[in-house]
Amino acid sequence: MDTTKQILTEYVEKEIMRRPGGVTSEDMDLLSTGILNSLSLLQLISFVERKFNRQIPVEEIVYENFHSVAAMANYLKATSPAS
Amino acid sequence: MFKRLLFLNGLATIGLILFHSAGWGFVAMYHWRERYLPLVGAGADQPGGVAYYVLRTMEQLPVAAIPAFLFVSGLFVAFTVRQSGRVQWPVIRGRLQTLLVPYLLWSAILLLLLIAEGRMPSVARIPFMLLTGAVNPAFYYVPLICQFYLLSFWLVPLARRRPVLLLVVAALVQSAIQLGYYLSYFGVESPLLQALGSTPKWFFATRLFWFSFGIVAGFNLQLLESRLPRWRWPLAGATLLLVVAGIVEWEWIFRSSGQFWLDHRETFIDTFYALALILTVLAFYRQSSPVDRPVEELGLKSYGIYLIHSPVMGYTARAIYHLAPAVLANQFLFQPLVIVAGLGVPLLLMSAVNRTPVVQRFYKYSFG
Repeated sequence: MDTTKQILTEYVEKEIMRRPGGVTSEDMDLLSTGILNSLSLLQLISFVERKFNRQIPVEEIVYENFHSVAAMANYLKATSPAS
Repeated sequence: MFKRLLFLNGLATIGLILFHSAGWGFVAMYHWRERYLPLVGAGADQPGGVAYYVLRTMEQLPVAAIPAFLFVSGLFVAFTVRQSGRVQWPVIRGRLQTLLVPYLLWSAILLLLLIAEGRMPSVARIPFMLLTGAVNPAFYYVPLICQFYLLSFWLVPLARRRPVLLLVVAALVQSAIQLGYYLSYFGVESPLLQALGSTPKWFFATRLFWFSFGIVAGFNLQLLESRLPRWRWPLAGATLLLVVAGIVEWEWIFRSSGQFWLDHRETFIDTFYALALILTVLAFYRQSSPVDRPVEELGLKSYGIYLIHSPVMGYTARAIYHLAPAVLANQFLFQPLVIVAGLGVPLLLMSAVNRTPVVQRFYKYSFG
């Protein structure tokens, strides 16, 4: 697993799920499983912006970019200033 | 602007604590006087005195709390469908599970406590109590928000295609019920208005506008981001004026009703105040303050705090009634005790579960 995915997985497991190993796959849908709700989504976005030093435009805060670890990592990679 | 929602949630959580604490203050001031008057005599806080108006302000400021919670929830639903356009049942189901499991757990605990107190409701009544949040006066919010998540299958397409129509209809439905409340306070005889005025708080129509507004806002965040900041100071000013107007309005309603006591319900001015406050918080999204982080932290814990604070406050108030009734006479002593208990106990409990490896995995099932 690449570093971004690892960071995201660890954060979701530790801070949101409070269960090591809770994210069983990087494609696990965090929204339809109830892991991410309105509050934890806001918490996650806040973490992503701080950790990866980004300002995520509001029009890009959509289900497709944030529903799984893989989706978030792909989004961050695609929108990285270096890419 | 998205992050501002967490701050809004945190503010609403603080508001919830203040609102219910003020409620217990009024219980002491109006209904428990016989307990402490023999002890303190003329020194007790009186209706119409300074403490009364402090309590009224504490009660008025947070009337935006439930609208804010519903607004944030509506916005979340919009987030889940912004590109696909369709509400997905697995997402709604996940959300309902996260809400209902802790709700049922704490309802069961409260029912057990009722049994211990010898106040067990009839078995036939329990399903109704759970469906309507009647196990605790504050629990009506859970059936309310669950209805909205289920209604989102209809509200979301309307919010996308006919947002103005949705908001107007939602506002009219909600206002009709509020009109029923107003007229019932003044004893206006009308079966229709009495029916409207009797609409229970857990029924979706009483707050339809707020969740709908959240969905519509969720589809128009860029527009809000670009337009709101220039209105931030007028919105802040309007919020302040409407708070004062709300206090005056409720005093007028209360005194004109001729009743000994009136439980507070959201009025028309309260609705405008809540709208102004929500927009003000969003409008200041570019500014930050030292209180942002702690308020946001509270916002993250809002559901757990919500589920636990009300019964804790109730037990605290009753304990003071029995053990130290003289405290009831002085709101400046009574209020801090109830507030600290109402906020402190949930936070301590949530922290204890979070830090204890054996039970940490049950955090979500206990506090959402």
